[in-house]
Order: sequence, then C-alpha cells, then structure tokens
Amino acid sequence: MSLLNPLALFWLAVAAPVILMYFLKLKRRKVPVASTWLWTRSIQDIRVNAPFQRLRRSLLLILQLLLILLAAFALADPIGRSSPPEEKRWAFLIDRSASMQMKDVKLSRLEKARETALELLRACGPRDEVMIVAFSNRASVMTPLTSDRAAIERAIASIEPADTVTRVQEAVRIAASAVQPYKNREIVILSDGRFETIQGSAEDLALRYVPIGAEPRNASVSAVEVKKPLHADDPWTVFAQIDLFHKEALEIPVELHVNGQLRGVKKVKVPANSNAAVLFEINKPVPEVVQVKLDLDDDLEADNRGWAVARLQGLKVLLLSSGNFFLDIAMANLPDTEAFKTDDLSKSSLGDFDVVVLDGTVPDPLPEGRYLILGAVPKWEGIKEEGTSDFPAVMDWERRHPVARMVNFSNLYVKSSPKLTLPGFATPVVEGPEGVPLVFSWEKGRTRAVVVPFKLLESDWPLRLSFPLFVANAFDWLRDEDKAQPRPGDALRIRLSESETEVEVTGPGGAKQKLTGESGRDVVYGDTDRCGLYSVKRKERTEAVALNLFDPRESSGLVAKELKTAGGRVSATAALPPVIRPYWRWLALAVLAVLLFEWYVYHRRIEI
Amino acid sequence: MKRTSSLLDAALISQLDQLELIVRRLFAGRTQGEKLSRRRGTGSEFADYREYAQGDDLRHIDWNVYGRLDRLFLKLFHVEEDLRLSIFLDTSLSMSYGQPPKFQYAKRLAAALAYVALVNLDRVTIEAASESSLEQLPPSRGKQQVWRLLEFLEDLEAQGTTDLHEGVKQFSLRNATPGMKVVISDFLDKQGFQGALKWLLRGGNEVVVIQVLAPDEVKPSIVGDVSLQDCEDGQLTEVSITAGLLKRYDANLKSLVGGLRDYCRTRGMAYFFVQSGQPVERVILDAMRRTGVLR
Repeated sequence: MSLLNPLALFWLAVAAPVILMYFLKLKRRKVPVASTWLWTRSIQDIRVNAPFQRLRRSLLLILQLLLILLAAFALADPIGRSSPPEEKRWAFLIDRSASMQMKDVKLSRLEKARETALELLRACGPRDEVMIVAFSNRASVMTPLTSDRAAIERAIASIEPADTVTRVQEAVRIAASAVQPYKNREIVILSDGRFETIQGSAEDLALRYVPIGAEPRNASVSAVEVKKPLHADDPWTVFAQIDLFHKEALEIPVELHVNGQLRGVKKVKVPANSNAAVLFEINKPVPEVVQVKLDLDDDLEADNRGWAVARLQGLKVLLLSSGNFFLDIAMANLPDTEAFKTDDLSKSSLGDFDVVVLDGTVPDPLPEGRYLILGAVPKWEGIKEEGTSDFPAVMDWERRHPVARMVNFSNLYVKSSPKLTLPGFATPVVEGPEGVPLVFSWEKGRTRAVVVPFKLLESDWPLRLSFPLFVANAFDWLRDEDKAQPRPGDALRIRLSESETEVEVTGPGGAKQKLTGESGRDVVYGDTDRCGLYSVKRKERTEAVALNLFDPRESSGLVAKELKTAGGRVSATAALPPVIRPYWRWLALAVLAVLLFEWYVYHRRIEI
Repeated sequence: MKRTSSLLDAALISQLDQLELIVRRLFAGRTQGEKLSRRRGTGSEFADYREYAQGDDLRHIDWNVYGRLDRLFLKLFHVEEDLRLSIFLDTSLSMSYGQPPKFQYAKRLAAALAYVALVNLDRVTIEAASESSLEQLPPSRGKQQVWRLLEFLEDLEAQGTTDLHEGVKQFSLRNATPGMKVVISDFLDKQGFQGALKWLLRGGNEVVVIQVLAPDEVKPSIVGDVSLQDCEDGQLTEVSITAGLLKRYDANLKSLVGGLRDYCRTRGMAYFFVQSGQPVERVILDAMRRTGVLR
C-alpha cells in the first residue's frame, strides 16, 4: 500500500486540538440544579465503578481520535500497489503466434493477453512509460516507450493474431535495448511460453512471465503430402497426419478437398495425445491443390486445415556441356525430368531451370541456384586451390550423405584432382589423401551444389555402376525442397524469370499485392501471417504456394510453467501486480461508521 | 371578580367558587363561620342534650322533652365556626428551579387553596419561609381579602437555603390553633423531612403535604460530563451523567417520594406529589377532590 498524497497525513495534527479540547472539556459545563443531594447520593452508589467511568469517558475521545486517523488516511489517498510510485519503464511482450488463438480461455488467449496487458497498464503509475511489442515468429514494435495511455491502448488493440510459430528472442532483444538504460524497468511476457530459451539472464532483463492459457483440446493436421503415381493409370495418393492434443481419444471426420472441391470424408480415430494417419486415393481430376480439413470444433482453428500443392511439371534441367556420353546416359534414366542441352551459355538463362549441370566449365559469376558441377571448381568465396594431387586414392566417404546413398566409391581411379581447402559449411562427401575432397556438397543461401572437381573422363568413374547412382542421388538432393518449405510468417522469395518484371500474389484472404523487380532476381512477399494457399500469378502461369502451420509445439497449446533463460528460469507470475485500488472510499465509510457509533455512544450513554 | 392575577385566572376562580375545604375532625373556631365547631352553641345542626342549669338561655329548652319527662333539658347545637387554614410555603432558592418554576406553581396552589378558604369564610394564614427569611400573611377572612392574599403571594421571592425542620417547627408553634395545615415544598432537604413533619402532628391538625418537583427533576435531561451547581448553596458536584447514574438517581428520587408518601399515609396526612408541569386545576379540582380535601 502506498499513499498518493502523503502530505495529507498532516491532518493528523487535528488530533492535538481534540485532545486539548478534551482536557478543556474537563472544565465541565455548569448546570444549575435545585439540589445536588439526590445526585451526590447517586454518585456515591456508583463510585465503586469509577475506573469504568473513566474508560467510558475516554471511549468518546478514542472514537474521535480514530475518526481523525481514518479521515487523515482517507485524505492521504492510499492505494494498494506493490511497486513504488516512482517512474518505471515497462515492455509488454504480447505473443500473437498461432497458439494464442486457442479458445481454451474466454474469447481467446490473445484476447486474454490483451485484457491482462490493459489491466497491467492500469496498474502502472501515471508517469510510467510502456512499450508494446507483439511477437510471433518475428517481433514488431506496436508502440515505443510512451506514457500516452491512449496510444498504448490503441497499440494493444491493434495486435492481430498470426498463424505462425513463436520466436521470442528478437522481441526480448528489442524490449531489452529499449528499457535497459533505465534502472526501474520490467519486461513482461504475456504468452503461453512455448518458445526457445531466452538468451540473457532473467535478472538482467528484469523478466516477468505471465502465462496465458489453460488446458486445450485440440486436433491438428500436422502433415499433408500429395504423391504422383509412378504409372499414369494409378491413382494419386494424399497422405495426411492428424495429431490430437487431448486426454481422450476422438473420432475426427477428415475432409479431402481437391482443387477446391470436396472429394471425400474419412473418419479417423485418434488415440488420446497421439496421432493417426489417413490416406486418400484420387483418380480424377489431376490434383493441383489438395486441402485436408478436420471437421471438428476444437480450441485452435488455424491448424485444422493443411494444404499441399502437387508437382505436375518435371524437373527442368539444363545441361551445359560440350558433349559427355556417360552423363547423357546417366541423365536419360532419371524419372520426372525434363532435360535441356546447350553448349552456349549466352543462349539460355540459368534462372529458368531447376537444376543446372555444368560439365567442365563454370560461368563467372554464377547466380544462385542448384548445380551439379563436374570437372571444374566454382570461384566461390572460401574455396582455396593449391596445386593438384596426382592419383589420389579414395580414403573415405560420408556414407550418411544423401548424395552417397548406396554408392561405393572404393577403388576409384582418378588421374589428378585439384588440392582444395573448403570452408566449414561445405561438406566433403568423398575424401582423398590429406583430406583432399574428391566430391563435396555446398549449401549456402539459396544455392545448393554438388561439385566433382576432377575431370570425369580422366577417371574410371563413368564406367562404374556408382556413377549413375551418384547422379540420381545428386538430382534427388538438389531437387529436394522439404527444407525450403516456407512456413507462415516467412517471407516468400519469388524468383522472377528473365522475361518477368512483376508478379501478383493473392493471399488466402483474397488480398492481392503486385510485386515488381528486376528480371532474374528475387522479389519478396512478406504478408504471410496466415496459413493457406497463396497464389503467385506469373506472366505465363499461376503457381500455388501452400503455407501450413504443421508445428506440434503451437498445436499442443500447452502452457509453460516457467521460461528458460540462458541464465536460469523465470517462473510464472500467477498473480498480476496488485492493481491500484483506492482505499479512501472504504476509509470514508469507516469514518461514517465510527461517527455513527460515536453518536450512539454519546446519546445512548452506554451502560456501564 | 373583575381583576385577574397571574396566580389565579377567571376560569379557575369560577371553579374554585364551588369548592370548600373539608375537615374530618371538628375544630373550635374563633368567629362564626361555615364549619361546624366542636363547641356547642347556636348553630343549626343538633349536637346533644344537656340538663338545664340556672342561667341558661330559656330559648334552647326542649319543651317537647319537658312535656314527656317533666324535666328541663337544653338542646345543644354545634356552633358553625370558621376553619383555620395555615399554609406553609417553602421559599428556599431550590423552589425557584425548574421549568415551569416550582415556586410559581407552589404559589398558585397556595392561592387556590387560600381562595377556597376565603370564599367559605375560613381564616387563612400563610407563612413563606426559608432559612433566612420569613414572610407572613396575617390571618385573613372573607372574600374581600382575596386581593391582599394574591398580592402577598405575588410579591414573594425565593431566597435562601432550605431548613424545613426549623421553618415548619416555627410555623407550627406560631399557628398552634388547630386547623388545616398545608405544607408546600419540594422536600429536597439534606436533613430529611421527618423532623419537620412531626411538628405538624401536634394538636390534632388536618395536615396536607404537597410536594412540588419540576419535570426536569423527575426525569433529568442533563447528559454528559457536567458540573452540577446547587442553586441554594452553590456547591459544585462533578458528575458524568450516564444511563447508570440516571437509573440510580431515579431510584433515589423514588425512595424519597415513596418515603414521604408512606410517612404521610401512616400518620393520617394527605400527601400530594405534583410536577410543576401539571396544570394546577388538575391538582385542585381532581386530585384534592378525589382524596377529600376539597368538596
């Protein structure tokens, strides 16, 4: 409890004249009576009760002093608040990730977080400054430190939910940098606490964790995959995985929508806190876009649907070679591949192909992309070449690397290979003596490459069985897009083709946005907070991009009891800091009550 | 009666005109009046027979008895004589207390009783006494004395302290003639009332005791811490007046009043307890008639 107006306690000085008057009052009022002898006789009777007399007499004085005490405290405007009234800097970090849309608390967790933030705001002192940071997979400052309550309230109200995973670190960093200069500060995280370990110690950051949420009942689509049949006559298959985060098993109707049309419903029994798979087969039509939907009213709506975009076109491959018989044969047997051949680089644009095979030459500069480089070394930063190694024997290979899957590199004969030193992120797949890489993989940014530095025709590799296997593995790895699968909240990078300068992106809500850029370069689309299908309208065709939550941490909706920080833990603060409660009304009521009691004592002349 | 007085108003006077004092015993008066006297004489009410003796008035011989018995008997009659009404009025300062003041009320009571006596040709004496003063109205008789009486009463002022014992004793000695003795006081005497009243029992008087108290004395409205000042001797008594104290005061007052009443009742005195707030008419016309002091 603290006093807003402690100076008002000087009113306690009023007690002095009251006490003075009390003593003055002992000079009693003279009342003439006919005769005092009846009175004196009566007094003699009760003289034995004199101490009680005095006590009773002073009861009125005590009541009056109590009255003054209460009134003075009421004037001092006492408030219940644990924090001192000096200025404080607050940062409210409000989680808006997918799990905050859970309806396990009234309205939703985000709504509850907003309410809690407003409550906290009301508890802040009048000169306190507050900043609002909303965070999902990234942080956004809704308002910098300010004492403008209206602005803060607007900022809190304007926080929109996002179907994204949760990352708190950036928000903590922003908040900490804003409030760090002030001694009296606090960062309040309003979240369900399902995120990474916070870097930095809880004490330094002055963290407070206010958990939001209860026990959810949620089912989610955690994977959707659409597979093209190997033979054209076979049906397409759609695989979906359903996760259930509930203590009782549920039978969930799962709908399959193909190209926007409902094509099937299957009831799937999912055990408690477990998952189940469902498989659909589609003969017609050829699916372009499939959607798997749970017909269920659970706590989180955003993860009840999953989308998948079928790959209809084969892999577009450009082979830049002056002619390589063995390579031609190896590539001819690759499934689902559309190969183009050229020997003149100026005639085609590398950006239009999914994978480019460079045989013996490497253009400089090399744009970002997917490359299989044979018999040449790209001039990438970090690769150092120091002479050559003659007849290098294969010492070892990375058997777990996808490129080396089921390939035996032993007894490989190579005439000579350049002595290369590789940066850390490049993985040597096959190593010769002294760690000289004979094959290595490169993954940096959007570039992915498999490099064979030595000349194929100066080795016996093309004659071996391992070579076509290696090529097939390399293509598999290069086309692999699982890791690049964008998530809600990620920026979509769209590569403009050589003939394009703009694309139009339509979000799941129907909002359209035109993006313009240089031909052959990426444009970035950032408005991806929502799950669903985003369509990218290009010059020649329209592509669909599916953004799915597919995150068990968000879907589980479990509320963390404490936050982990690098320096320790922050336990949940169950109770908010006591909201300011003005007590003067109660004191004024007490004054009234005491006044009434005093009146009663005075007039009823309470029995001894 | 044309003139009016603060003590008696016209309405009361017209009612008082109908009343007379009643005595249960016969007294010997000094002059002829309307009350039967103990003395035999020339009244109208038969009293007794007596054998004739030489020198008796022949007019009183009962010739009918002579005719039957052949002896001379005199017929004796009660002489109708006047009654001696003596009123003792306590004029100590304590009587001036109260709202309305007890003294004024006592004067009105005295005036009313004296008026009834005067109208009925009785002899009235009033003594107004305190410890330090004595005012006397000499014996008066006849209706023409009413204004003298009223003036005497109106001029009285309360003064001095109460010494009921000495006052009543002197009053009793000065008015030794038997008759009706009326004492009007508040009886708030620290020495008690017994010593005073016993003087009135001498000589077979008809005694009427009227105790006048102010309503404020019966039910005090004083509250809180006060210093009570005795209006006679100025003595200060500091008290905190509480419900308990008031209860005890009430008990003490009741024992005083009850003691006085019982004392009077056991000694054949008429006792009246009046509060100065009550109308005088009610006391005179109601209570006194009911108890047979007035008719």
